[in-house]
Parts: sequence; structure tokens; C-alpha cells
Amino acid sequence: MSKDCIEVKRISEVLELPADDSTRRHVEACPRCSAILASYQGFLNEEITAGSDPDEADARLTAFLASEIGVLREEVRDAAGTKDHAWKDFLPRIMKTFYLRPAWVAALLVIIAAGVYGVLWWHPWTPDKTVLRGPSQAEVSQPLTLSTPQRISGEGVRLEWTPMAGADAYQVRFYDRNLNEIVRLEPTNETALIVGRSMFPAQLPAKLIWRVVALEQGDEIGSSDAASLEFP
Amino acid sequence: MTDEALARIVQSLVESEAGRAAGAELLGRYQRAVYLWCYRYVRDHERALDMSQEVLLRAWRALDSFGGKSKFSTWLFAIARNRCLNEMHRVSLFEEGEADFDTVQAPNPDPVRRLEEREYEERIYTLIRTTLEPEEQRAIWLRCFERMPIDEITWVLGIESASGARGLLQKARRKLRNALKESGDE
Repeated sequence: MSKDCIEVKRISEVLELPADDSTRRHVEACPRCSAILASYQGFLNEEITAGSDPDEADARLTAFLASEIGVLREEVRDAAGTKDHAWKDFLPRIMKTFYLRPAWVAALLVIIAAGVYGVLWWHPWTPDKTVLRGPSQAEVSQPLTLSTPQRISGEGVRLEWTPMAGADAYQVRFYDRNLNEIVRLEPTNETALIVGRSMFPAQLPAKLIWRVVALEQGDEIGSSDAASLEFP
Repeated sequence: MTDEALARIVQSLVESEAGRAAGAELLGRYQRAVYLWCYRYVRDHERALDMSQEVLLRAWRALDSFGGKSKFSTWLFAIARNRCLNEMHRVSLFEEGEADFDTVQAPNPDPVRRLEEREYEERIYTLIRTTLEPEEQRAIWLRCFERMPIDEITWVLGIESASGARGLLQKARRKLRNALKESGDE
């Protein structure tokens, strides 16, 4: 092992470096680093070896994790999906539910309209006015952290977060306790906004989880920790 | 949601149901990979399951220390790799078979001896680099330092020759023995 060798837990970073990068060149030439990189790629490959029983292992390890962590993964998988499936599935589920039921659709539209009217009547701000302040260059800091939500008049809650260097927009996402995404707001270039209960589906859990994702040209470049949110 | 985002949820909401749910999801994504990796080393279903449980439990308990600077998958791989290394005997560099008892002892407490050992390791490292072809280097490293079974080396390195890693290792060891004789270190 030489002084240029890379820590095992950082070995995958090499794959993202340009071919002429000195670290990458080291890894390709070093018996230790190249062997560990090949080993890591084998780990991710999940190829089944004769004699193994991955399905039985899956079931037993799921049960083991449930007993150690206190949550059964199947519930989580259904709720959270493995990669942002929850939100993508939300609209089709709604469409399926209301398909060919015009009366339900009409009722839903009335409820939404009433909700929007309620928000505007009780909190007569335009969408632009909900934004409290934006980042200045001097304020830009890392990492992106959330402030404690502040209750304001009526049922509104003010959410605020620190700006993140390089971000040109922020997207606020809300989840239920099982990390099932409920609502994803339109990206904004501001660092604070006010949300109200009426912006969410009617069956809103008592406690939500929210986090902010920093975007640059539409790509995620960072995110905040998750935090709890409770409407008055 | 990415692994790293889930890890941050676990860290920030560790006492809550949401934090535990994120942890179960995150580790659940890799439980199969961990099991298959352990199985490759020990070729025994129950033993591989025991090792996998230890790896996942260690990861769950150490998630607070995951800084997010590396990928979660490499962080977990490092834990699984250590567990497998502990399970396997160290293999001699110059011939197939377990290393001599001396070489598997705990590090020597004497600093002078430690320095000598370190210098010896560096000479061996240089010998491997200067004597062997790149594929031979990787095979010998995986066998002797990663303690990987020979069939798994054949698979990891994608060796297609009939003798697989076994033939490659024999050739590499012959070269190393000759080089060591020539350098007068034997």
C-alpha cells in the first residue's frame, strides 16, 4: 500500500474522475486500489453464486432488520418506493381512482377551488408575496439547513432555509411518516415561503416531514436534512 | 430517494418512526448484495446469513458516523469487506495455503519491529508492482490481502481462461519467487 492509495470507502469516487486524473491513474496502476475497485464492483453486481439462497436470505434479513430497527421494510417499500416512485405514482393512482366518475371529479374540483379561495381570502397574498426573502451573495452558505417552522396567522406556517452555494432554485418536498411523498412544490429561487393546510390533500397526516432540495439547472446538487412539520 | 438522502433522514430523525423507516429502506436495498458477498467468501448459507446480520447491524449502529462524503454503497462495502477479511485466513504470498503463524499474529508492539515489518511490506508491494502484469497484480492482491477465494477472483476479474485465477496465481507466484531470489531477500 502506498501513500497515494485511496480509502476503501471512497474507492467509487474514482469512477467519476476524468481518465487523465492523477488519482484515477494511480488506481489503475496500483494492485491494491485496482483490486479493491474490482471487488467493489463485484459487490454491487449481486450475481448469484451456486448454492446460495438469496430469496430466503432476503426474507430472513428483512425480518432481522425489522426486529433490530423496529420497522418492517415491506411497509416502507410500499410507502417510500425505492427511487422517488411515490410521487410519480400519485397522479396515476388519483386518475385511476376517479376515472369515469365525473361526479367525484366535480366534487374534487369544488373542494380544491374552495381551498384555494380560502387561502387567498384568509391570507391575501399573491404567490410572489408568499416569498419572504431571497438569498444575497453575502448570505450564501453551506450546507443547506432548515430553520424551525414558524406559525403565522391562521393556519399558515413559514418555512425557511439557508441558501446553498451553486443552487439556482429550491424545491420543498413533504412526506408522511413513512416517507411517502405527499406534495412537491414548484421550485423557487427564494429561501422562504409560507404554506397552508389547504395546499395539501384533504387526508393530511397530523405530522409531516419536510426537506428542501437544492437545484442547479434542474439537477439536484444537495438537500437539507429532513425535519418535522405540524400545522396549527 | 437516493441512499445518501435516506441516510440523512436517519441521522436527523433517528428517534422517530420516519428515521427508522428510512434506515430499514436503506439497509434493505443492500441486504441481498451483502449476503451474496459474504456467501462468496464462506460458501455456507447460514454462516453467510450470520455475517450479513452482523454487517447490517454494524452499519445501522454506525450510521451516525456516515459523513456523506463517500457513497453509502462504498461505506457499506467497507464494512462488509472487513467482516469477510476477519472470517478468512490470511494466505501466503508465495505459495497457495495459509500463511505461516508468524504472519497472522497481531501487529508487533515493538516500534522497531513494526518499522521492519512496514519496510518489508513496502518491498513486497514494490516487488508485486515491478514483477507482475496488471492482471496478475490484482489477482495476487485479491488472494493474499483481500483473502478472496480463488473462484471469486476468477469472477471478479472476469478471467476467461480455462485455468481461471488459479493458473494466473501460479504464474504470478513463480515470478515473485524468482524475483525474490534475484533480489537476495529470500
